[in-house]
Amino acid sequence: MTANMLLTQVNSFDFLNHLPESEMRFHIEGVRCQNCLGKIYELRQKLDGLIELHLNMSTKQLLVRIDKSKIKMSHVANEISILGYTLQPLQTPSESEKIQKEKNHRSLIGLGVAAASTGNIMLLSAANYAGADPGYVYIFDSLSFLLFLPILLYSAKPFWQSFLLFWKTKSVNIDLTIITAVVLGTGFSLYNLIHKMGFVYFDSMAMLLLLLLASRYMLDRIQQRYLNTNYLNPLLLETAVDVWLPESKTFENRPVKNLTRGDIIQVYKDQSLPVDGRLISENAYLNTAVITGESQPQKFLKSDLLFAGSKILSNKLKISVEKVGSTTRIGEYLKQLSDQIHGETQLTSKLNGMAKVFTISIIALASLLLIYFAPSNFSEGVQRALALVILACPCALGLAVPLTQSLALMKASRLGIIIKNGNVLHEVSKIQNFVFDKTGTLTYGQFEFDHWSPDSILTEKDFSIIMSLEQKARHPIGKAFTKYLKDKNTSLCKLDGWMEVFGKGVSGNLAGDFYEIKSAPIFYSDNPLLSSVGYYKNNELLAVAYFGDQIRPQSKSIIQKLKKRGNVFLLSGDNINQVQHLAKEVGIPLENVKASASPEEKVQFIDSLNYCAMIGDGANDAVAISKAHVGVAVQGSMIASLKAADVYFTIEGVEHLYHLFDVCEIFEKTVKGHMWFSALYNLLGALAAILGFINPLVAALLMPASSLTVLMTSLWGMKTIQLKIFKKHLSKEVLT
Amino acid sequence: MSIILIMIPASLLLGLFFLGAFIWATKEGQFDDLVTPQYEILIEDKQIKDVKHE
Repeated sequence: MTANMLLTQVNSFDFLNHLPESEMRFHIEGVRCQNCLGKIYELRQKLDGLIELHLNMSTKQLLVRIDKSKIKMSHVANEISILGYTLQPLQTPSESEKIQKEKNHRSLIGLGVAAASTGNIMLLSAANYAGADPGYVYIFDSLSFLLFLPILLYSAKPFWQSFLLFWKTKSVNIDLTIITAVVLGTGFSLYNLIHKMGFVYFDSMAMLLLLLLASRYMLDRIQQRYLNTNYLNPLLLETAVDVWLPESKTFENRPVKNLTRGDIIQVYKDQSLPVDGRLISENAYLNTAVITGESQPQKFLKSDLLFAGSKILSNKLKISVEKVGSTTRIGEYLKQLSDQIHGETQLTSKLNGMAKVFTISIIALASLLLIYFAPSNFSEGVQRALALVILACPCALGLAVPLTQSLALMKASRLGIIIKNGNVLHEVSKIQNFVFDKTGTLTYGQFEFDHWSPDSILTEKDFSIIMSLEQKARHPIGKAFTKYLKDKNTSLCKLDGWMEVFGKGVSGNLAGDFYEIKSAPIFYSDNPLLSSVGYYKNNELLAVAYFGDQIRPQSKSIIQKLKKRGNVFLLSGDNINQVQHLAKEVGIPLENVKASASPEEKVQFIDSLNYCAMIGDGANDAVAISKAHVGVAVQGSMIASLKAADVYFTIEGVEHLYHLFDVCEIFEKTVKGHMWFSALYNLLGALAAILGFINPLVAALLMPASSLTVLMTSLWGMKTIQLKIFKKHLSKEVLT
Repeated sequence: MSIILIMIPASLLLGLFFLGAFIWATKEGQFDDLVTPQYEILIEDKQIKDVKHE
């Protein structure tokens, strides 16, 4: 019985029932604690036919497996959304995702092997350093070698792979010094072991590899976690749709991917249009926010081109298919986006360049030492070269910077800023131009009731009529009305003949009177951001209600602050009046305002600026966001923007932009400190090694010491981040 | 001192055993989700068992 009630209540997941799969994955938002988990898992008992329900809170994925003969997928989805969680169906796991998972398992196992071996090697070498008998030293060293083999051959695979890459492409990477150190060290230690000459360094090599592997694994996982919105593709290809079959002269449900140009499909209210197509029905109302960012319903006429992703507001539409899947406008968008996301590198070119120079010079120096000593004292040459390579191994670049980076990403995420790409941390300080979108970014992006004109003329009865009229309306103004009146605790009344005409308004009868809410003749208002509707009784205008998208209170102050850092621009798809008014309100110079910009124009605009940050929320901003040096998506953004952005906020508002600067500043400071420290350390160490003051044993002790130092400083530097930001803002508030 | 000839292999075997356990757990996917299990443990066993028996 409950099932029937629910199915009549919510229909938005109905399309799931057309899919053949009995197992589906959803992206779920809003699960935070044990209570949420308990509420969801209660469904396991409640719903008959639910075979598996599993939630992964770290990836925010929900797995649902059902017995199709007993329960519908939409029913399960509805039950969960009724609990208050937002669900988004995901595509079946892609090949790349499975590969990613296996890769994670492999690197974790590699790390485990390395840790187990290193631990045991350390136990053995501790005995050696403590002064074991020569006979035992030999046994312990041999055992160390055997224990080192799994690290060398299995765990160190990523380093061998990058060596292979160097061999093929001849492009120097930072792993090259590590490989050199490992090869040289292993060869030398093995030679010494066989000839019983002492100087065996398997312990230091094992430790080096373990530390490097561990820090890289950590960084990898953190980056993956924030990149995993990537698979949130809309179900454009997966859904089924009613298609006209000429043979049987009926509409039948068929998968969208089998459609071709010229097919005729029928779509219903609340469905997302799965294809680009031409309208066959007389007229249609669609919400095209996904593509244009315009939240008002749009009217389309016969033979107009409709775009995939638009939400259908009319009851039933016939459409002739033009384009399907990745050739649709939104499909092309998404493709462009994923190309850009995958084209990004991990380290900045600057850092990479430094590492390259460093790597080449160290290896060159080491070879010179070998050549110089080869004729006279080869062993001495090897010792000095090895000491040099181990000491100069750019641990600051290879270890501390990634670690600091991942710590910064983690701290930022606690402040409500998700940074998907570590490069952003370096880029932010270079930004000279800030480009803002209007709706949803500087404003709340929602219609809200502003005021009545004339004020306080309407009675409680009028409010109740308005509430009843607007409650079922689909227009954004209807929702705004309902929200405003619900806050006033207005009750409902029973109307006859309720009707909604798109583009006109809503109407109904009560006790012989005819009430209507529709657009009113324009009254004077100094604020072009507001739109108005009139409340009519028997065709006589009683009052006008003004609605508007409210400006966020922090918008003005953040723009004032940003102006000190560079130019601020406003880029919007809305008309010039609205945009200019907003610009005046928040203090953006009018010559920096660009209105009525199409998504393509936005991209051009971004391309014309150097070092710019784009802050937006709509799908129409997505490509612009991804093109910008630093793309920022605010909370509540469209999925396309989240995908495109380098940074997104999980907390409402734009003021977190300033926290982003703070985090980046502290990050840069910490990294710079590391650079200086390790440059100095390495320079002194290298000099000492070349001159022969340091043998590989001392180098092996000094290397972890320096690694440990930079690890400590990066931990400490990042640990204080929240405190620093807090203090900074506190002192500012006291001053102002 | 010859006790060390037993101790070292024993410690290595022990290490190997735990490494094996770690590899098994990783392949089982026990480290894929480090957030949910800590909450899952607090949910009444009965609910989950009931579903499994059906």
